[in-house]
Amino acid sequence: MKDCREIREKLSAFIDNELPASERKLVEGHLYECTACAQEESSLRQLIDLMDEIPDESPSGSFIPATVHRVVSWKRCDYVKGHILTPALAALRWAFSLVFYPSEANSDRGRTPVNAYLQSFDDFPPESLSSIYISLIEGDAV
Amino acid sequence: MAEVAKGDLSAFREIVEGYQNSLLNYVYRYTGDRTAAEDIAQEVFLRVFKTAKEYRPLSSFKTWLFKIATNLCLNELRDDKMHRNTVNIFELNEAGFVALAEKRPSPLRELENQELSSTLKNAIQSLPENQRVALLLHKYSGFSYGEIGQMMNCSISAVESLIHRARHGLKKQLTPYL
Repeated sequence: MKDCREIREKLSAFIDNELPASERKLVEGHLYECTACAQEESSLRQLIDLMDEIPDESPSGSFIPATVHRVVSWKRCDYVKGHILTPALAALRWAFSLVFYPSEANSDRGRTPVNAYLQSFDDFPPESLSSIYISLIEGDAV
Repeated sequence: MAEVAKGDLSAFREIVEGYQNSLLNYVYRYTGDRTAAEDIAQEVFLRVFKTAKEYRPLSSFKTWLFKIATNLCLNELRDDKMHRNTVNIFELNEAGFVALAEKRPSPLRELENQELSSTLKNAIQSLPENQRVALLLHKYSGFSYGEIGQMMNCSISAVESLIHRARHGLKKQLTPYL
């Protein structure tokens, strides 16, 4: 038979029905014989019941509309960033390099700073305008 | 989730409707702040939408959702000056639990001055982070020890120990009610 300390450490799992059958039997057997541990089990059950005294909160009426609005706003920002700002910045950077560093922009197939920069924008969906745009620019630079 | 991954807002709305109560109550009991809880819960749903394409049903959707919520709550508390010493429970392994018990006013004083539910909330708030997470996920969100272990990256026996210690801690503070 396990000692009281070991049994008490198992009491929470015992109450929550989380013990394997063999350990469960051991605990049950011990509780049948040990009044102190049985009292401990009883007070733990009382505590668990007591925790039900915290009432549930309901979300405010605006919770769902506010959440959906947050998503819509994020989608809008993401679209502008992904389809307009990022390609525009990439194009500007490329144009800048072409004007001020033309030799670098057109040398060493695919290894130029411009291409290296453009390759950092490789996470557009394959069919998106941005992706086509980037591939066109890359094609030009190579 | 497949529909949400395609950007379907009505599918997303269904998910929010289905989980808003359980998620809000979890976050509220975790943070103890009703206003912050609503804001964090909305942020959790936004992250679900943002990362829907990355979701792989290795565990249940609910487990995934509550793991996001727990991480966000931890970050929120970490940003809070009142909780400078919190750590990410997901960075801990089963041997590395850190006791983070906070200094609270005397439990007896609290019991004298506050209603039961308020006392309970405070007692829960005073538990170390990892004990509080395990206890709340089990008691109020209905997760099994195994599911909690998945979320916290620890073994079932570690979860068992966390919940046991959490209840032991609560029992000490709530003795007059038992």
